[in-house]
Amino acid sequence: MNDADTRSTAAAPADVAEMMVCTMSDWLLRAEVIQLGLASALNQVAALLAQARTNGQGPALEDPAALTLTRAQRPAFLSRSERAAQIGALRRYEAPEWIGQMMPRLAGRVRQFVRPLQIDAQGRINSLRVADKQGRLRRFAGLAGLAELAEIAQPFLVYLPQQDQRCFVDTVDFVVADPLAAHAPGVGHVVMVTDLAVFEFTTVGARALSRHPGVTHELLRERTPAAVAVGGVPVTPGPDAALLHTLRTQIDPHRVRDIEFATGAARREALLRLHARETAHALA
Amino acid sequence: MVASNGKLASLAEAAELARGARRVALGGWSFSRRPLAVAMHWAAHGLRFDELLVLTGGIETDLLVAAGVVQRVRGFYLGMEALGMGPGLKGGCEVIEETETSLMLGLNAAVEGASFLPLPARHGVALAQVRPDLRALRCPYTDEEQLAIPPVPIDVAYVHAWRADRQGNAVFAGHKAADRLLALAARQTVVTCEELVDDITAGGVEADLTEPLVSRVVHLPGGARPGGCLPGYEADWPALLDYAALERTAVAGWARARLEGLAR
Repeated sequence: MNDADTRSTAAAPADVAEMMVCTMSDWLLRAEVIQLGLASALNQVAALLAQARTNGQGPALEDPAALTLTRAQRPAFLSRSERAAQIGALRRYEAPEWIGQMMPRLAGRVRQFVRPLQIDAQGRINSLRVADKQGRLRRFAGLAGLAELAEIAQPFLVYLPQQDQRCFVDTVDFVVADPLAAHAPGVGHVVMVTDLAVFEFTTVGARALSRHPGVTHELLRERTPAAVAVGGVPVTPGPDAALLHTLRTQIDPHRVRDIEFATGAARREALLRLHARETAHALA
Repeated sequence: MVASNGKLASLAEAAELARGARRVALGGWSFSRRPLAVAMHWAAHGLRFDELLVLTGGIETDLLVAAGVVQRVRGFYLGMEALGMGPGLKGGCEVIEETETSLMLGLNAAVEGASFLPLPARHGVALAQVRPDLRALRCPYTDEEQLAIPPVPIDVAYVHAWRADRQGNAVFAGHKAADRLLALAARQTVVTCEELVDDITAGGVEADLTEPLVSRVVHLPGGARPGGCLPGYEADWPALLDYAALERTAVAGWARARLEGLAR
């Protein structure tokens, strides 16, 4: 454990990643099933935290790293996620069974935070970009279950580790999923947690529900599409000391939560550091 | 070693089945149980085929694109997840996009001999925009708008198993992925395995894939590296990161070097 780790396990206030995962876990507490999503670091940490907050009596976790359903309480892992996903597994599913038979049965009962490439003021999602043979970036229409999730997840949950004008836009370039349109009028509900604030999207419109501590109205306005109301919102309640302690010492001692904030050369170093920490951890 | 029914094959023999194929599938999921030694063999030896079918396309897909083995890729995810994209996908490729459900339907249609299986149109709004080949219809019972998902038969499917016997019965151990469905939809299936055993049912274990679906068995310890194959080994992130940093032109050489390491 280095100095930074030592500080984070003491009574230091929540950093951005911690603020986000604690807030995200609030929205997962009432799910019956949480889908973790492949390599989705913040979603995994938030889900495991939600499970710990309910003493394992809350949501079951579907973990695509081994396609398992589990109630086992465990720390977060990224590089060793397949082995971790098998701890206490109630079942290992075949992909066709989960996709074709289980997911359609979970309408209204499943939640999953997804990280889009873009989201717009109507709550529509654009996702992964892949270059074609001419080097033009194209969208991936069916990316990893978003089309299916838009219809069954309620609310549809989104997160952005870095909210800016490139990813939170007036209109997405390509609509991969339209969670509000996937439901009857007045029923669809999208909630987004970013590094700045919490937002909700309904057919009535989009608005900020709260802004995180230290985020000014001016900053939020600058990085949010004009069609989204951000005025007069309260400050997001921060996690209490007990929740932070649980997060730092039990749920995410390896700091999986930091990965989605690392970019460029620092990201490679962060990934290798995480791998080394996880490898040193005994795992059944 | 002689197989009791002739299914045991070398890597080269089994890999050759894909030459010139219209559609080849690789099993596994994410970094788990990907038949990477087979993919490396194709990349190292310049073998070509038309279409690669994967559910989630990771390093195996990336290296085949980078080495020019495949013309196009069919699947519902491309990338090396937290590790980003490798040189193949960074450089671009032709993709036939699927959703999770449309790909399952296409494979099931191939298994069942159906000319199509219906996907509710509301699930395929985005898909229909990028797949003009998909025809729309109305359900004769409910009048619901649907997309007719055609069968996607596979010429050869390759799956990597933890254990297999000489008859082709195989146990997956880690992620089950959709490998059984791939084998059902394939004209031929090759199983590569970590351990070749005499009694696959020892210890009360049942096979995930059974012998009538399997054409060839290749004993290939380490055949999923640098990905993982539980319970034997986990994905080797440092090696995967090294791969992701390669230039596209270096991929075939990387594959040759990895194969030589595997053979030692």
